[in-house]
Amino acid sequence: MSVPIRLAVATINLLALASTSATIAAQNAPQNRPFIEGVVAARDGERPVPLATITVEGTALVVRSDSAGRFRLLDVPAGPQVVVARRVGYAVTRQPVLVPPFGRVTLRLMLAVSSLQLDQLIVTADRVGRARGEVGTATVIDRDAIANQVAASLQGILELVPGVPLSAPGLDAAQPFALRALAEPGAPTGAAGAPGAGSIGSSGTLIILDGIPLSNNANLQSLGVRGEVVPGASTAGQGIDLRRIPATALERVEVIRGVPSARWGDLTQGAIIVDTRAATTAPEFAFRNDPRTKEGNSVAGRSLFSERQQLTATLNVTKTQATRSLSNAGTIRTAAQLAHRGTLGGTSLTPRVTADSRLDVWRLRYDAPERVDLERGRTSFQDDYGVRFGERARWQIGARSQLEWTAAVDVQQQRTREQRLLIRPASPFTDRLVEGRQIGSFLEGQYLGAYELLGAPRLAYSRLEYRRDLPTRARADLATLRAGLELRREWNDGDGYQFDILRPPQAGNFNGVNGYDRPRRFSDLSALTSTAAYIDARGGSRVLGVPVEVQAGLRADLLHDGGWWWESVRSMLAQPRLAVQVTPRPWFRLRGGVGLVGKLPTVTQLSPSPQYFDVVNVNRYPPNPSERLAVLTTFIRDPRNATLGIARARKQEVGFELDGGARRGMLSVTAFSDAVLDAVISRREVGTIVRERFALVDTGLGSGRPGRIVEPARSAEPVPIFLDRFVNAGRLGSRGVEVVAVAPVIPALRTRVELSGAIVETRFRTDDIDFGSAQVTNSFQLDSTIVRIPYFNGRRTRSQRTILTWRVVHHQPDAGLVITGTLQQSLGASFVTEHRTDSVAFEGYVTRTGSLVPVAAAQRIDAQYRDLRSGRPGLTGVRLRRPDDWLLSLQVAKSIIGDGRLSFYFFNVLDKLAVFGGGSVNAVPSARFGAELTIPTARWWK
Amino acid sequence: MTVYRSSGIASRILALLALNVATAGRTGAQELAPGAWNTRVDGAASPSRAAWLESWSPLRAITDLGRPPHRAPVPRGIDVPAPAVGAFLLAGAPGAISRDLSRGDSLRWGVIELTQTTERGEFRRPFDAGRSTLQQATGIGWQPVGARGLAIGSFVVDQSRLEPSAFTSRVTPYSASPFVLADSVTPAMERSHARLEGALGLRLGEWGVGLSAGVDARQDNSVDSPIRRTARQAIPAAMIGLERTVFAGVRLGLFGRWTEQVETQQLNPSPGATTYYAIQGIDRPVPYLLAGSALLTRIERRATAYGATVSGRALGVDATAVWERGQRAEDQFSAPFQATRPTDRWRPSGQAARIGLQGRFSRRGQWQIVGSYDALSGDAVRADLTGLAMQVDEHRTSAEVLLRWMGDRAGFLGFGGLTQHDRTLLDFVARSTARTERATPFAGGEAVVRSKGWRIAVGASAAIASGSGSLPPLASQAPSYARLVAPALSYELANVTAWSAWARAGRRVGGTMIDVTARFEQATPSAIDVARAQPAGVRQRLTLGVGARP
Repeated sequence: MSVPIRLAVATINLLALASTSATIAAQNAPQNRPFIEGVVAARDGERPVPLATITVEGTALVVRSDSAGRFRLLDVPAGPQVVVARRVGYAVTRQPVLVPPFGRVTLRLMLAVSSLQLDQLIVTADRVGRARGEVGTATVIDRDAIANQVAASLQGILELVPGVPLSAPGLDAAQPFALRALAEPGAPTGAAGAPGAGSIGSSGTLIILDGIPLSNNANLQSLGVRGEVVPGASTAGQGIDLRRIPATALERVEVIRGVPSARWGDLTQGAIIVDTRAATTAPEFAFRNDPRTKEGNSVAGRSLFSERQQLTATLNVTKTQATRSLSNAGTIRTAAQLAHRGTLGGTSLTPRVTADSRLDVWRLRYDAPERVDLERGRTSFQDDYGVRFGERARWQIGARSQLEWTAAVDVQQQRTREQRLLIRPASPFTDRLVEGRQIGSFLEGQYLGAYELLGAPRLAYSRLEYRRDLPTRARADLATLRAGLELRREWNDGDGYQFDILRPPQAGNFNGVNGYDRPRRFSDLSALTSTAAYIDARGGSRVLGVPVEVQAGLRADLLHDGGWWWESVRSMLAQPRLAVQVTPRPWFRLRGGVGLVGKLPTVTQLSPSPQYFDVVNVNRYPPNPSERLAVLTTFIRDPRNATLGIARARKQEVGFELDGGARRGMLSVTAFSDAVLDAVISRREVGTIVRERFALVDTGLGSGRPGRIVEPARSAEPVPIFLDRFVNAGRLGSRGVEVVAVAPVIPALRTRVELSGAIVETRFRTDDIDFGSAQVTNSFQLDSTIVRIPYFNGRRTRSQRTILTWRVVHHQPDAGLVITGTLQQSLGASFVTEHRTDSVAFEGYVTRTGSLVPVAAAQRIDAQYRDLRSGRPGLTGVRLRRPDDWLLSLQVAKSIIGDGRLSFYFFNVLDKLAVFGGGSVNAVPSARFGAELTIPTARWWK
Repeated sequence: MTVYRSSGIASRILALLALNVATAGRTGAQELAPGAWNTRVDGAASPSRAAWLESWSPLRAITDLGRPPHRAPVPRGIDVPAPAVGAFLLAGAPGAISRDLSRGDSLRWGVIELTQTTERGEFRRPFDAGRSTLQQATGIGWQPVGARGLAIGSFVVDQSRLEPSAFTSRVTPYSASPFVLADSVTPAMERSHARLEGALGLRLGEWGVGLSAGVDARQDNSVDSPIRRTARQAIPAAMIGLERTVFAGVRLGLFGRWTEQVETQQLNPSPGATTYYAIQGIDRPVPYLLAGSALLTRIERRATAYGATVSGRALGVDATAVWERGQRAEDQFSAPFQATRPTDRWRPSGQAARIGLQGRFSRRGQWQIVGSYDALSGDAVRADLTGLAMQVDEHRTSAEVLLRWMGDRAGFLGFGGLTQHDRTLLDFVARSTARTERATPFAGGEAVVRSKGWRIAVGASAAIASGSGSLPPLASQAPSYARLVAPALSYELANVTAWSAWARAGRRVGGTMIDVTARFEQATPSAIDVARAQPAGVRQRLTLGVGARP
């Protein structure tokens, strides 16, 4: 029996056990279930606040405070919970609480206009909060922490996750994000632009925005493996560019680092669940200014007609300008969202039907105009914009069942334009679009090489989920069963890759054999269509008196051929998942998880562009242009791979948590091992084409005529070619340890010290063979005297890094002041090439006819292989070790006149020179500083 | 050696008259009007701030007096809380925070202000920008924290454009250090700057303890120029102190200060080329051709200081005396990633003393006298030579008096004083000495009237600087010396008349007081000495501002 089947059986057994336990426990339910009661009061004067909404995060429990501010929440699950109080005109208050198995907890929830004046303000990742509906290890970042984190986008918020390096806030560069994986330099195989560790890691990190996955699978804004003028800001083939999600629009971020529930698919690393702001709130305006970035944001929400209809609108405009001494490039983001919630039936707090609608509009525009004083002719432009409409409708069926339908349509337009002044030596050139031979021309001299990538990614997504809350019993705190069906279709309707074919922007790759990519339409490519079904159960029980919480599920992803769901299944992956939490003591928790996850291939991986080979048959170049003659034969090879399927990944983790609350501190340690077992990479396959050689006639110098060829060909010879094909042959393994430690609050100083960090090691390997550098393969193709070149075993690399982030938070509620100092250390960062690079590292050789001939290790030193013993080109002895270093950032937030908030930030405040978080050794890291002003208007309306 | 001596009588006048000075919105570095408070190294201040609200800054320079341009004092003290002297307000001794600020007019106060300042004119030094426009937001406030504590905080955020800029991207080119890296172009520059500082103090019985900290960051870059310049600077600083009442209301205090100032400049001539000059004292500037590759220069400064304070009250007079001793290490190098790198080293040490007296002359009147003395001496070692290359001795003495009277419907402020600044630079490599003495008497006043909900204030001030000293003869120097070094030295010796006038109108809107301010300043030399390459012309500055305070 295979491991997945065993896991599936174990999961079913566990579900049965959980269900049985719950049933037995229900028969013994005592009457004194735990409950929370208390009072909601305003901080200034402590007057009671009526009609505040009080909820327990992660549950459906909700009540309103009465005219005296009193409330009572019944049947609260035991264990660590977060009670949330909301009221229009006040900042949201969150109070962590440890709920005992029986009895009462009394709370006094204080509401303040400015969250900075709340005693229980948490301005870093919540150490108690849990991702809703998830048992796997998570980092939860709520609104207060988001407001305190200076960030232009979601990327900046994710710096609160252990092991994530700090970066200056702004929209400077594309921001794909990889959970629990390090981005290594270069690709595993020689082709430029092929998937590497960084792109595999980031594309395997799922972003879920308001309950609906975002996807980058149909983003084709890349020139593929033969790209020459590559757009710098494109994240095609990588994860979502997080710049499109403004930080100020976020209400809550849950980063599931561990094993996610079966509800989520199309991921290998983890899931980031993002909730945007959607609540009744008085208009709030925020402005941020630093030398490079200007940002404006507004959010407002109100009830429409009745409190059962709520409409929230957010608008964000941000501009980041490159240092103008270097470039006039700038990136402008515009993002707006309309969120509507309507309820029907039941009561306003527990409606029968709830419909959440979201309309997201965003635009990310990068423009680097020509700077004639720096480089003539060079321009770069990228304009991405999109509209996404999402709907989540929940129908409450009875007291414990719910049917939820989620649907989204995501329509994007992308336009990339790159232009550079190119200088080419005289080269035979053909503009032929189909196979065959024709008289060509000569491309030479200086010209403007420009191209456009016109993409139109589309996503249609639908999920139907049934959820049932099983009755809570004495020994079963909570039991939830979810089952769902998910349909997804992604395609690109764009005009594609377009350029003036007489001025090809990629002519530099043309070597007399390799052609250049021809214009192509994206709309001709097949859609990526998938179906998924899942079942997920979460239950809690007591085993030998110890609370145990289990989440188990099974997910099956099906990838279809042909672009529609009724087409045949191309690839299928069953993904059993299990996460367990044991709580021997209220302050001590053990957690573990194991499961399979899967990542769909992208549209471009399923339908790569045809590869052209333009073989030069005749190259006659006398001084007189009219006497020149070029004859070329065009071959087209299809690199599609019919067996390309879903990449499979295994996630494992185990950890513990000591939680003593604010007074005693907290420690969480998690060890993890994630492995993408068959990641999609680009394989270089060797093949041959035939070059014909012709005799020429009428070629006398001074004749004024180009001459002509004599058919049939005088001779023919095989020419080796290298075809780049996407295959499931990569292995990306990451393992490490994550630590979060929170020291007890020092009451006299109102100061807290936190440490979060991660030791991460990422290994990338492939068993595919490698032919070395492009220089070697080019020479081999062109020079018929080279009868063979060596090939090598697959590349294997390893990256390591330890990131420790120390945060010191000083809070003065009376003054509405929060000072956060963040010191981050980078230790032991290294990149090591593990495969052999010595002169006998070759595995064999490839002949001009494309045959691979292995050579036994013992024979590689023989004289007959002398021509192969030159070491592995381009990779000799790679071992990069970055020096240990640290940097310090400072944030100060202060409540000001009119209930506003003024924040200052200084990134790299000591202006450390050494490299941090990547880049070359001699790079000078950025230092950034600025201020942010938030103006709520709640008081204006009172 | 040629000796120049001015005929200004003012240089011999003792400082006996008043001042409560506040610098205006700055457009360049070190723009500090004369006064005894001697507050900042860069003068980044708001028009709404009096000097006594600036001098507590932990970011105050240690053993660096600066070489400010000629300006008249610009006070702003009549409609802000009454000025006070004390160990915290006079020298930033944090142990006295709670006591000093709780004696003022208000236990809780704050203001936020936006200003725009335009400065232009040819009466300037080579490393001053030709024309500059600055937009600035500032704020300051304090309030009690708990029953025994008091906190004060302040911020400055500004952006400016310099066009043309100066022959250097150095943030503080006219500091005590004799080393500056200059170049041959003046591209338009954008500058961004932010400063944040705060202090928290507690009173624990007879003890007072406190901590202040601040950070100042700056980023400059050229605009649309093939000779690309970037510069940035970060200055963190912290100060800790304690104070104890010993007997009869006499309080003794101790404090310690630390600051680290890091500046990074990058000059990238690609695709063009430029010449840069190493300014080393008064030696001939050595030109280097820079083409193709960038020049990265780093200046790392570390400074510490410690001091003692004594405060008390007798005969209705509050008196405070402060003494401080500091030292600084400053390294400038251009190969930051090499283990061994040629480094220009500047090692000054010095001390400072302040004395402040304050009393009342009627129920509504107040007088204040502040005197200060600063001295430093330092050694400089050049990167290209072994051994002592230069020595600098510098002294600055100031005294000022303030008279303030505030009635129900009107009030006035009068001030005056004198500042004397001497600097001697011995250059053993150039075998010459530059000695400059500059005396600046100043006076001014402001009147305020309240009527129909409005508060209108007008004022004017003037300063007359006269210089004397000896400089190396210009005739024997290279053209680059005459262009980059000599004008700055002769600027110090120039006889200059500077004046300023301002008007301010305020009205309460809702619960907030809104102030609108306009101020004009001008400085011009009364005589021009072409032989020593003295700058000529006029330097003018116009500041418009709006402020809000509860």
